[in-house]
Amino acid sequence: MRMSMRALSRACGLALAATVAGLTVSTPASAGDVKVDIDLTNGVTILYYHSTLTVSLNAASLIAPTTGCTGSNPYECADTPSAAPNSTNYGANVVATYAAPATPTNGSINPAAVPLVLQNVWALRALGGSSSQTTVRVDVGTGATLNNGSSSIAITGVDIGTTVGTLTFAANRSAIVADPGLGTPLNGFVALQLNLSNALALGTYSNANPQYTITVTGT
Amino acid sequence: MRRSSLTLGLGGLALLLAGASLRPAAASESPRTELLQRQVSLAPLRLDDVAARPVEALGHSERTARRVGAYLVADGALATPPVRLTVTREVPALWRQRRDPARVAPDGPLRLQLSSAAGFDALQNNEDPAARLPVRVRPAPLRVIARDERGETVEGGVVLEFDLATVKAGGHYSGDLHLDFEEP
Repeated sequence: MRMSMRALSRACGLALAATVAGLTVSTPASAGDVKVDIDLTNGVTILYYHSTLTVSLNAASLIAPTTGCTGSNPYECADTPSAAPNSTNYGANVVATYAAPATPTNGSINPAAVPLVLQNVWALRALGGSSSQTTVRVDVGTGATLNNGSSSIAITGVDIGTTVGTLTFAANRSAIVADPGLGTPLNGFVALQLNLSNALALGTYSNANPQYTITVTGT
Repeated sequence: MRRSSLTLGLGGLALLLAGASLRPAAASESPRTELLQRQVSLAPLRLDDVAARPVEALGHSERTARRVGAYLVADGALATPPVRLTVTREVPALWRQRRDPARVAPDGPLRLQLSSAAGFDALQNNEDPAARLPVRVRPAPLRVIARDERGETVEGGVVLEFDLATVKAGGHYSGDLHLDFEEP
């Protein structure tokens, strides 16, 4: 009986030791905390832009009369003549001189100041820096006159932004935008004011020098 | 005698569990595991963490202007290339542990938890408390720095992966990294 008890005792002792050792392994015995910090203050800014653009302009899109005309291109604009003028005899000819037909201007764009909005020609990722905002600026470039033989188109002003509202044209314009972060780029437009007064021929108008320059600052 | 031995054994076990759960001892207080750093200032975010260059030309675009109200509008797509939105910082030597090679022990802390006032797995912006920087943390590979007949000394660290996809506020971000170790 005693022998038996001792044996049992040893068995229990071994079992206990094994149990205690097993529990000790799975129990966290020490812990610590570490302060962690990182700076996102240097400013990361990435500007994307289309380096070259070809824009097709349909002259008919410049003239969209809303009254007095029918058709689309060509438009047919009938004008009721003024009272019949007195005719004049010029030798064998009889000439009746009327006032020139009225040219409807309602809805048409002044060809000397055509506002052309180039949507989605630049995009921005920006995070951090000296402020939470970024300034995007556009300047008229050194190739502001687009040539086509003796005809030309002049860029007389530029504007820039992210949402087209009321355009204001000048030699340079700036827009201040909130930093969009790095995840989703912020897209923007550049608007050009074109003088088509000397655009007398169809064809391609171009200049090897840049028509506008975009600069990003503030981050 | 047998009963006494059993009681002592259970008492020792109870004491060990209570000590671990009620008052976690700082690792540096342990003779076997020590923290090598109490504060880690990670390298600031730089442009080359996310992209190769600050200005990227996207090439040519063909458009046709159409009349929209008082303007001509030439619309088109602008496909921006992706950037790396997960930035990694490694702290290779954050803790050191003396181990007995005869015992099997996990390769690193049992638990890693990063938290701040912005919540778990995120650092908080010190200037803008509403801004948070999501972070994932995992153990860095373990390195044996010394070995002798009684055991070996290993060093370990952590790898922090910052998710920049939704972060819009710059500034200083901070938080606390909690580590639980098994004491060999």
